[in-house]
Amino acid sequence: MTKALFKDIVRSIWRTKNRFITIFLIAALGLAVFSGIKATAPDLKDTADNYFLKQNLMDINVISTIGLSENDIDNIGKVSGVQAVMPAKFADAFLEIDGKKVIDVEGAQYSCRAMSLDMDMLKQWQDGVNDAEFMNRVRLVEGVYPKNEDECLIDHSDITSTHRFKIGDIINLVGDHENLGNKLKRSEYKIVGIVNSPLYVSVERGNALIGSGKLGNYIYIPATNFVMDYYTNAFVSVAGAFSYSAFSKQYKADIAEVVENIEAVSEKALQERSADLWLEYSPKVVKGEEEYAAKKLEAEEKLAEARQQVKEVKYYAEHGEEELAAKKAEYEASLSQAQREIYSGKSQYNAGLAEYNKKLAEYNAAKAMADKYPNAREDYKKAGEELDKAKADIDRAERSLGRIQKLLDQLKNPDSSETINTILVNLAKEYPEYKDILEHTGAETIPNAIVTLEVATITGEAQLNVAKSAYDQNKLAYDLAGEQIKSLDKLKDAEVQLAEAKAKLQAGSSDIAIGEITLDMKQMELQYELAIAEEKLAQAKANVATVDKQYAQAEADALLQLQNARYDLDTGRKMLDSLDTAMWHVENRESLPGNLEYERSADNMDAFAAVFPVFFFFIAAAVCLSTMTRMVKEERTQMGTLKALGYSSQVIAIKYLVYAFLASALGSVLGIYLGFYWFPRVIYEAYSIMFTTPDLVLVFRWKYALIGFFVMLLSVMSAALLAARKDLMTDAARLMRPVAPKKGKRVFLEKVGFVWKRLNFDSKVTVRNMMRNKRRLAMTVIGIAGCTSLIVVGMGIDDSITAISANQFGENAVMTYDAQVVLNDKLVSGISEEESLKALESDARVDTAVLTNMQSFKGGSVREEELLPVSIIVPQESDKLSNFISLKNRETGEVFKLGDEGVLVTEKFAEHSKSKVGDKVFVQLDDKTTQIEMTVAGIVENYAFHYIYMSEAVYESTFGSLPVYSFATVKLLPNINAMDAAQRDSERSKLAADLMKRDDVSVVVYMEQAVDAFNGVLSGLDTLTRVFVVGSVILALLVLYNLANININERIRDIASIKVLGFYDREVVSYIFKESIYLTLIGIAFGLLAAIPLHLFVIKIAEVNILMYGRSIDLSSYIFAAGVIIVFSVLVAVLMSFKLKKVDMVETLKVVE
Amino acid sequence: MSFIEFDSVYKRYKMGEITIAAADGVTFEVEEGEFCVITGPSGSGKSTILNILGGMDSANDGKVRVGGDLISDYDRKKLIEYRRDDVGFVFQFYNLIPNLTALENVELATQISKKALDAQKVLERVGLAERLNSFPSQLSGGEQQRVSIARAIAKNPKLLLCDEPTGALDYNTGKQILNLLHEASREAGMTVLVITHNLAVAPMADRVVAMRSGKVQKITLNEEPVPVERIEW
Ligand SMILES: Nc1ncnc2c1ncn2[C@@H]1O[C@H](COP(=O)(O)OP(=O)(O)OP(=O)(O)O)[C@@H](O)[C@H]1O
Ligand SMILES: [Mg+2]
Repeated sequence: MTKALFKDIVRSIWRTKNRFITIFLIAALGLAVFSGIKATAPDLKDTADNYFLKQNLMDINVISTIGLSENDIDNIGKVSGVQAVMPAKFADAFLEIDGKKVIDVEGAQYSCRAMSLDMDMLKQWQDGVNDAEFMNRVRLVEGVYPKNEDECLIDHSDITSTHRFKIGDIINLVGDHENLGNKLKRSEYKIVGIVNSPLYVSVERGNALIGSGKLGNYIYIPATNFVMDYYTNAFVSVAGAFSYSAFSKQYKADIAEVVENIEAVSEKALQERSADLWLEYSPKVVKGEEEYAAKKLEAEEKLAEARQQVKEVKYYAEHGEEELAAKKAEYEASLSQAQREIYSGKSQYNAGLAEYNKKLAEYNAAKAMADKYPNAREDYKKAGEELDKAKADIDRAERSLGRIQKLLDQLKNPDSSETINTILVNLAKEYPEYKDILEHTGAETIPNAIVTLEVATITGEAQLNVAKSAYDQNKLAYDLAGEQIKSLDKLKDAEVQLAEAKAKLQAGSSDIAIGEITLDMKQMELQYELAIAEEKLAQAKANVATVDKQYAQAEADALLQLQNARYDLDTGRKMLDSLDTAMWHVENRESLPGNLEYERSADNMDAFAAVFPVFFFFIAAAVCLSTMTRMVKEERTQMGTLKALGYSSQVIAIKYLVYAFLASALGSVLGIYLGFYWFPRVIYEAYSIMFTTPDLVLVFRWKYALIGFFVMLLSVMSAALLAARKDLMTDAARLMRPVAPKKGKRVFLEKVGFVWKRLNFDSKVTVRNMMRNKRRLAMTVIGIAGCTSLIVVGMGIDDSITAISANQFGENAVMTYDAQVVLNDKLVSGISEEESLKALESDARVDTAVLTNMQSFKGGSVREEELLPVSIIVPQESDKLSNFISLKNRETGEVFKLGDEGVLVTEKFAEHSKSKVGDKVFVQLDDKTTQIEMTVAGIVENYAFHYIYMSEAVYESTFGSLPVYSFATVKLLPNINAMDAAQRDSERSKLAADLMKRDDVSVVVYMEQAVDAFNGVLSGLDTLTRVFVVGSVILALLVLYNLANININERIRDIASIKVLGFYDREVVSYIFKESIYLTLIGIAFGLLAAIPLHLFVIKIAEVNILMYGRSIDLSSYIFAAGVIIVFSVLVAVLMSFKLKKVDMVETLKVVE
Repeated sequence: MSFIEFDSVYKRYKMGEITIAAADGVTFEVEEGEFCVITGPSGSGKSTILNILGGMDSANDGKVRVGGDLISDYDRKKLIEYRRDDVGFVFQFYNLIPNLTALENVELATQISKKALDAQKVLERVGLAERLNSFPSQLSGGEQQRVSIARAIAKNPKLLLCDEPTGALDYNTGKQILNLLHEASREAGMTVLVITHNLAVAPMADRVVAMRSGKVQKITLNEEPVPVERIEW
């Protein structure tokens, strides 16, 4: 390529930049839609696969109705095909936060599933160990993993809650009539992290065992919090399962095999565990009853006490004033008494003080006295001794005097009877002092003796007198000394008395101090009592109104506690009762809430991607192609010039090929980029409302990229080549002249003279202009028709999708019931189905109900190999079924009844199994070999899933047994359904909660839940079609702009000419666009018509077998499509009218064509 | 006061650094009903002043009067009306609408003009009675130019402006065309301005304006114009 040619190419691009950009953009759009829609479904599946692998999602979940023991876990681990087993526990509870119940958006109590998190495994995993046993690893969205036992992780999705949980919240788990302490060590947990669990790929949380039966969210708590001694789940991973996509047939087959293997070991395991439980629990229940009785008694006592308190409060409220007054009086009285006491104490003290002072004076006086006789005591002692001597002297003197006297008397008057001598002897004996005298005396000498004796008497007397006077003297001295001593004693006394007085005085003063303190204390005490009394009164007054309520609350609490205890007991009893019917549920991933929906979403998308984007792509390619052709045609003169300059045809052809290549390749690359990296994300964004899977895995898919790229490139480049080829074969001179006109340019209409003559001049010109260039006409009509049908089909698919839900569940739809009430096994509840039905029907909110049996099978016919998932539905009362499900043929309108001649099958099932009325269809039993045959008696309208309806009699004759009615289908009173949404929802959850309190009701599933999940599945598809519609709309805009641009470029000289003639601006616009308007209208008409078969075609291919899309397009979709095209045409015309205004007559006409 | 008055008309084009004055103070007058020829070398500004006079272009400076109206001050709308009612234009390359017949091409002009002549009659007058329903591509160059003149005349304008109408035609055809234009001036009383390189045409004109480098070099008034038939070149 020469430099000149290169420059020419660049200049060409610049000169026709509008055209270039148009081709670029349309190619980009075409490829974006094509590759984007093709890539979305595989991206969705890859995302889930990656996620499951990374989080090591379980393959199988084993749940036992009586829990799993260690032994069970070991047994499961030994089953062939099992790679690892992770036992786990969970407990369902209500949530409280800040002491308030969390309420869900429907007004029911929010329930939560607390699941066990093995902290050791978590730790290992965090350390980088990829342990196959650690399954269902959560994905942390915010926060950290728990470190302590009282910390938890919470579900990221809380859209059904009225509370937004955040890190740091303390949540409290409360049992539903059940003592949660039997299951969990503690009820309070602090949220430290927010997570997504691979167990829940969507916002669907499945069913709870409590409340309204709808699980709100889940939390993960350290496993050590669980106190139950059994496991609730055993999660199983299957060896080699991760080598296949979770959505592949191979994976499903592998898992199904292991499920069977596990089910095979269940019977023996259940027997063992049942035996163990019986041994353990039957005595416990007995003991429990006793404890319950005791508890009940205690509660009653406590309540009695509480009643007493209530009484008191009430009394106080009434009589408190008086009590208070009495207390006050008492207070004052006690105060004055105490004060009096202190006063008298004080006067006593004063008296004591005076006494003390007196004593002090006395003491001082005594002391002064005593000081004068310091030797008084010795003197007194000596004087005493002297005095005693003197007294002794006197005594002696008197005694001897007396004896002498007596002797004298006897001597003087001797006793006649005796001789003197004897007398004398006797006397001598008697008075030895006088022996000398007496011995020497005889009768004769008596007078001598008398005389001597008398003398002695006189001396004796004298001596006595001396002694007496000495005594008197001594006595005096003694008495004096005695006096002196007395004063000494007195001092001592005074001293003692003074000390006493002092002590007394001191005692008095401390008494007073104590008295005062006591007084203060007493005062305080009384004041306090008074305050309390006042407060009590106030309280009593304040509480008197609420005290009854409080009591009622306390009573309710007590009763609740009793009820809980009862519940625990009953649960234990029920568990024992259920041992005979115990079983294992061995579930695969499809049982996980939302998992199946995820797969269905991807499948729907896949089906949709089959044809729709291909149409879009081809229309885009066609527009690019024709644009390229026009571009080359317009370059005629350029080509001539180049040829004249001596360029070879090949070189000139290369110029246009390069142009075509650049425009389409650049566009395609952008388109592929958008298609793979932007488009799926937009669709996924819509799903993110529904799904909690991580960011989409975006994969560059070579297959689609290459197909799209080359088809686009080939079509545009071959268009360029074909267009150029013809011109290049002509010689330069002719090329530089205008195209030789074709002969016979007269249009068909001119031949129809009467029509032609009636047309006014403008119309003639318009018709002529329209017909002037057939290729442009075709290009315009096809381009506009194509875009119109794309929009209609896009909208139509949306209509068809919306129709499924509306036709199936909406007003006057196929399924018109409101709820399904799932019943517990009557062996366990002890309530027969009939009783349950009666109870249901007697509920004021229930309009009508029917017992229903539903069983799922794979089914089909001998005419078709494919087996479909189909549910058999048997109503207990055949006539009642039509109250809940419409049994009408869609095409003929015939309404069927459940009869005894055969079964009714749904439309799609009939279609897929190639069945007509009278044909046989079958369902396959679990053993995969037994096929149960039945005859089709009618085909009924249905849009989602496959059903076979049959009467009880037909069931019995077909299966050889009576059906088990496991749930009741319920229709609520019309006035409940007529309420506004919020009220209706709360009414419904209330009903569900009420029903679930019954022993015979297991779960209440509202139709709306099913519909929501169902619509969720379709929501991504909705977005897909919307994106598609937007794409089509953009394509339409580009096409219209392109067409207008081509139109103006081709006729620029005409425009200049008529401007010279003096056409007003609007006349110029109308001259140019009048034909465009007609062409557009024709294009729209064709487009709308073409859309009908196209839509049907797309729908048929896009349909997944369990769904039947609506077959018709809403009128509004047609109107929208036509409206869009018209609005855009006007928009483009307005845009172009500016361009027309700017056309420079002089410049345009100066250039020779 | 003359019918057409150019008073110091300037038209400048800026080409980067330099400014080209296509009309550099053009001043001249043409009387009503005159047949005026404008001559001059290529690039002297002939087309420029004719385009300004025809309301297809506007002057940067100076005044242009037609029949006393100052058209150099006209706004866009008034210019369109002026072109519509008062001006007929004939180009060197005819500029017919290719997918309209001869008659329709003329009708295209007449349908918008208030005082238009009958399209068919005008075509007959230019000698195309037989070719009314032919498309331009089916006509020879001379015939096309006659359609083009018919289209201009049919509007019955006061002014007929022709930019090298014979440029692409042979001698005889050129003569016929000039005759037609001359007739338009003489018989319909239109003021006709014809640009031509052919100085031989000058004698038939009432007035000859010679241009050079955007200026009027010379204006010659012919008291006795020579009839076309007598002119040879
Ligand atoms: N759009 C334009 N841009 C720049 N210059 C221009 C433009 N149109 C005209 N000119 C210049 O103005 C001058 C006068 O041009 P005009 O077309 O009036 O000449 P002319 O006398 O008609 O020549 P010819 O006889 O070749 O047609 C020329 O020099 C030309 O180059
Ligand atoms: Mg010129």
